[in-house]
Amino acid sequence: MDERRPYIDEIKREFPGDVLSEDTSTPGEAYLTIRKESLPRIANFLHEVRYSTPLLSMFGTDERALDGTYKVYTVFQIPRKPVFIILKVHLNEGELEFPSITPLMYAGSPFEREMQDMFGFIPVGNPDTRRMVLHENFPRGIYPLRKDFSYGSTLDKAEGQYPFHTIEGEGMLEIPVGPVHAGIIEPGHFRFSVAGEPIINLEIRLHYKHKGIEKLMETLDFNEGCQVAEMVSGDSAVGHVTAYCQAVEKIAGIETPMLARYNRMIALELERLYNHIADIGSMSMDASFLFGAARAGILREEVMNLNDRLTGSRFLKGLVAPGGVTRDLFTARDDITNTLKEVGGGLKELVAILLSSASFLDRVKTTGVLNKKTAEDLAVTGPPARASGIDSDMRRDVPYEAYGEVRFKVPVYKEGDVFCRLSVRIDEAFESINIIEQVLKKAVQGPLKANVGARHAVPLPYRYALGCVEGWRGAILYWIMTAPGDKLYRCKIKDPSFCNWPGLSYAVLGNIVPDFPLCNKSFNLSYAGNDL
Amino acid sequence: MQKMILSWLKRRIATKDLKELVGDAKLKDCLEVVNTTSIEEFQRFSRRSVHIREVDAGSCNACELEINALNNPVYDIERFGIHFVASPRHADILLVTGPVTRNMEMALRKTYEATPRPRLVVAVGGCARDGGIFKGSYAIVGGVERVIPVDAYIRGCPPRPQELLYGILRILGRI
Repeated sequence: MDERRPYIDEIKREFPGDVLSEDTSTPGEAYLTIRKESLPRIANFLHEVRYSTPLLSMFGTDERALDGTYKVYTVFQIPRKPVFIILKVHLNEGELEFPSITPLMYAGSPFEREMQDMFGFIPVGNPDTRRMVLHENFPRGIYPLRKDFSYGSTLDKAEGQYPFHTIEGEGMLEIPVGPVHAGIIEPGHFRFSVAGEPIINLEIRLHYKHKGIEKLMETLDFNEGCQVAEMVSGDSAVGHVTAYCQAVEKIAGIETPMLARYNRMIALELERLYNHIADIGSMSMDASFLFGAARAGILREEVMNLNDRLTGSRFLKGLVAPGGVTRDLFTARDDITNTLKEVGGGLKELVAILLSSASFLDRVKTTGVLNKKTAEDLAVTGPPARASGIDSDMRRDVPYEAYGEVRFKVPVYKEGDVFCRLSVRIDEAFESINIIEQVLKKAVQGPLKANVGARHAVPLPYRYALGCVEGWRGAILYWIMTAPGDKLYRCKIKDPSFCNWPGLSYAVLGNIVPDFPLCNKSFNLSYAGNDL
Repeated sequence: MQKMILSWLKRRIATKDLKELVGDAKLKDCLEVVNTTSIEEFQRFSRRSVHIREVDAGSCNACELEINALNNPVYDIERFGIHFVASPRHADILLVTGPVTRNMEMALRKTYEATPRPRLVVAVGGCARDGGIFKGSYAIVGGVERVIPVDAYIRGCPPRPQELLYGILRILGRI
């Protein structure tokens, strides 16, 4: 039986008359077109009342060329099930208001503000209507993701002041930091309000790196889109491009060859490994334990050099392509095994030393607590979610590629402090080595790539699908809609950072400012992936 | 624990020989000097330590990771007296990455203005050259030179740590 059916039926039963139509043509995805007014109620039913379903993404499309309407898609995943429920709302031209889901589920707020900037939709009831993606220099009244706006538009320069929240009271002090901040790091603005040492409020302002990636995608065909997906967030190149390719393959109805699936898994786990090692190092660095940072730096470099030997790119770029992979990593089986053995041994030593240092543990334990309820409300994903007691991992819940064939543990911790986020990363790094070892034992032959392209399995225009990968930061989601001629009509990218940034601003509350870098590193979020 | 540390001390050091890192003749291609005069002038002041402020004007963050790697024990750029500093006011060189986005234009300009002379601007990566893959976007201004004068480019997407090290040491006239 179709796994989606009971959920669709239940929603129809609970909200009679609100579901206008359903579309189950894409496997694993149930698209329910609902009445605009019922969006917050059905969303809240999925999120809070019935399934505690995390909100994965929310985005708009301009489908005026098809049926004269704009649409709002709200994507939920049934916990621990490979079932995506997508609520679809039509907005007629001239009636761009829709009821905000924010009052009932806070996680919706950044998504709604994004749509407000990019499409001009009006989320009625969202208490925060400030501009987000487009800063003051963008003139008012331009909506980049509408189809009548062209990617290469030259815009005038406008001016203005961003209305930050102000926290008032005796002894309150504001500390503005960024966008150019200390260290070799991406740009973003943090505004701390402190009373003495403890942080009372942290407002994070991002989108300094907004480059118009989603609009760029609409000018490309789906082979070209690959390169751009690799450049959404450089440190998650494999995660992004794999999610992208999965969506394309789903639309084209292509079965990826097994060999390609295994290769992708190796690449995904190598990416997780080098990033987690780097994070373990930077957490030691920010707890002033420089020895740990130095050792982790050496280990990370070994993985990066392995990547380089395997693919000619230290970030594993150029490996994953629609239909499969471009080269076979199995030919370097011994190299991978030997390097990982060395890295695994080194990491074990490093972890033993870190976890026996009282001064280090003193810094990381009970620092930057994100409690489970807040994490759920904000739809936090990845290691920060698992450190706060949320048991979710796309590799296990939606076993893409061939993750169903390997055995691995999903570490879950309860306290939600820096130490838990560190522990999740340590455990996952070892699990990554374990997964790669299991994959390398598989003996497979066959093609590396199924044919996708202009003359083979041409996806029909205006079909859509989701691609979903558990990147090292959390769930990466791509939603793609095709246009005629192998082009992309719309590509919505959701980097896990988008939902995790608000998580950080809650985790630091009550902590002292000098602990902020440590909290920040324990999340290690992407600015580029958030800003697009 | 003691045993572990003792065993480490016996190992070969992780830091690579400079010759091994920048000896490759192919590395020459990664550096493009556009303002020879300013670089020659700068070299007279930069015989000893040099301070670099890194500015990300909109990159995909791969350039940042590679620049960060210069500080790890393998490349250890500090052994040449080159430090990354927190403020442009302490900097001699600005290392700028990314296409400059509209949202970062003003911040980049202010950072440049806050850097005391003599100063150099080195643009890193393909996007910093002319916007790279994002060239022509409504949301970017273009390459770094559209906003501030650039003295040299280090090419690559992203440039490897060896290439960055080679480029920086060449600009300083050390190799």
